[in-house]
Amino acid sequence: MLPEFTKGIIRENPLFVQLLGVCPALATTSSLTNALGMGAAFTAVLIGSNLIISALKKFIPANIRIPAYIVVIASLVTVTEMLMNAYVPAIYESLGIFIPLIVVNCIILGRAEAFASKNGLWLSFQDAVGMGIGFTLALSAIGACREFFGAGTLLGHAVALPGTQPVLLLILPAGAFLTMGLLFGALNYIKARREVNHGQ
Amino acid sequence: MSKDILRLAAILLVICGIAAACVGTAHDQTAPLIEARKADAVREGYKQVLPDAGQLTDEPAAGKHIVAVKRSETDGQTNGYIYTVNPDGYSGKVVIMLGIEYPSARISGVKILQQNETPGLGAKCTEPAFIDQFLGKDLSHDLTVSKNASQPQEIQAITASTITSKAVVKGINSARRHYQEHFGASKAAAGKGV
Repeated sequence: MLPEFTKGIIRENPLFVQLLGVCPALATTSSLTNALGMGAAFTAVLIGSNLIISALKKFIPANIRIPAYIVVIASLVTVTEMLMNAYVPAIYESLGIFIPLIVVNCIILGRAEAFASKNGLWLSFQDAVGMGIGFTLALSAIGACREFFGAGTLLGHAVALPGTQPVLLLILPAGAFLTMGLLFGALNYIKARREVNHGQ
Repeated sequence: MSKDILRLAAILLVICGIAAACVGTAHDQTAPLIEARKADAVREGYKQVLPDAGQLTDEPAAGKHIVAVKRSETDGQTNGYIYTVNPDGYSGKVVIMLGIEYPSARISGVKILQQNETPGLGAKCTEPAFIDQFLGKDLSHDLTVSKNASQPQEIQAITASTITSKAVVKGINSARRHYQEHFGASKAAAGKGV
């Protein structure tokens, strides 16, 4: 069922498997709310850029594809930012700082280069939605861990276990590296065990 | 070869041209809306720190950390002042707007406009738990930061963020001194005495 859609969610998860977009993932996962916001804005831009680049793939010569993609992505992000600022100010206020960060998100350029430039509109759309969901899930996992253990809240509501002290370090930048490293390790462990089991 | 370069340059030029046209159009469409919204946000901010704000006029702002002073007037009577102060926090300036009622010299509202403090620690200075402590404080004396506040002039510090707490209080004290010096009760009384 729609392999181009499902592959991005787990099997080729952009963050956990491809290790792309690590920088924004470190910067925007201090809480679950931020993680979801970044994921939503990212998915919207990825769908737009995949569609435009897929539509233009015959027009853009291979030699100048990278500058062409960057122009498309940067313009798309700028326009999105201005539209959100003007028409949905509440969402813009909470996502404001993440939107310009999307320009330098290498997953978007990566999908343009690896997928949208070689496939049609419908497949590129599926690819973008799948990758967007995959990245959002990965960010949410990190954001939820950091917010729960670091601040004792989830989505801003207090959910701390009584009698425990939040580990402030986790919502500081160092905590982003620690949480991400531990999650990567756990996923690799599960994957390695699975492979061993399949081998037997 | 050279012909190919010209062709590629021309294609890139077309792409950039179209992109620039899209961005330009979007900017023209949204700029007035964004401007209006920003002005609204500023007005909203004034209302938050000084609920009775009426006609606002600029007052000369002088002194350490003081960015702007506005006098609010309703029916020709001054009823408060709005200060913008920017003391140094733990990382960069903390920009604070506060309203002072006139002539009672009580704080009617405090709003952190901009801060770059440590997330989860100093950044808590924007939360009501900290900021609402200032409401109704009498500004005849300096406020002080305390680890366990009990006196009316004491402000409870944010746990593990003494520098940020002190910065906010320092900014408010600068505004307090400016207020007392220029519009304070002693000043008014002295003026009447003569």
